[in-house]
Amino acid sequence: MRWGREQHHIDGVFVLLLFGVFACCILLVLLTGAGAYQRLTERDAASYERRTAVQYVAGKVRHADTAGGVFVGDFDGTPDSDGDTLFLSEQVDGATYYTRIYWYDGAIRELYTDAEGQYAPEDGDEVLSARSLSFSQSGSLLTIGATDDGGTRSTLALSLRSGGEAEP
Amino acid sequence: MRSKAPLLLMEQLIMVLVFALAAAVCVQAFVLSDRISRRSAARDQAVIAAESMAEQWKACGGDAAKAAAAYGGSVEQGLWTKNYDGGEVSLLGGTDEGGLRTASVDAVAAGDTEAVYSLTVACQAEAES
Repeated sequence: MRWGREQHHIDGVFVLLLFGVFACCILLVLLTGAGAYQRLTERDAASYERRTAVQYVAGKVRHADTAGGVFVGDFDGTPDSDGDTLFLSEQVDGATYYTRIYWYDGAIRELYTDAEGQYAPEDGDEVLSARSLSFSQSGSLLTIGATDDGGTRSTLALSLRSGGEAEP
Repeated sequence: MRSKAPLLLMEQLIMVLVFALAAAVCVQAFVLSDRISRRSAARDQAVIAAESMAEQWKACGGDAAKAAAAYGGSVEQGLWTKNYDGGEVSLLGGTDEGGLRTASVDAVAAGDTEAVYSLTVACQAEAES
């Protein structure tokens, strides 16, 4: 009689133990899933940041790639093949307008103005958050370097279709 | 009165079995998604590296040796090879047809044997002097 009662007691404990193991396994699978999802989103975000900056500039350059339409210089408009600003120029009703693309205060910025006016870097619109953006031009090859917020640097070379050293 | 414990035990054993199957499928899905995500990140890097190499080749008028001298890498039997952060990118010059010079660019991620990204590029061949 007593043996039978003990047997029932052990059965109950075993059921509880099995339930505990089951609960732990569920938790483990959930944590694994959450970890995997976190890694995926982090990696995707890093990839997005890495490619977006250089691809954005590449798109703008392709759009404005006319003879003398693309050059690198200082923000004030002085041409310098290792300058910090990319100039995309266009003629509107006989007047020259510049789209300046540059980095200032933690962001890649864009500023569209006439060629004659005096403007400051903070006047531009923020396009994308980044740690740095640099340009260099050698002949018809324009090299864009961008460092994203995570510190990863991407470099993209572009051969200007309009060819040759662009002039302002 | 008979105990219900054996019945509960059987029920839980079946539950654990079903859970184990579901968990196996889930873990497999996690591993697969991780692999796809890694491949996608590697391809992103490869696209930028391959595009850059193609543009440098174009800027040198389709001359791989000239491009290698200017922008780095090595040339062997017409194959221009360079390293990038995530692996190796190579350009093989093809034929000239109707004034158009073609080449194929392959980017292979580190630890991989197959190209993660391939690109066919063409430019106007420089006139022979």
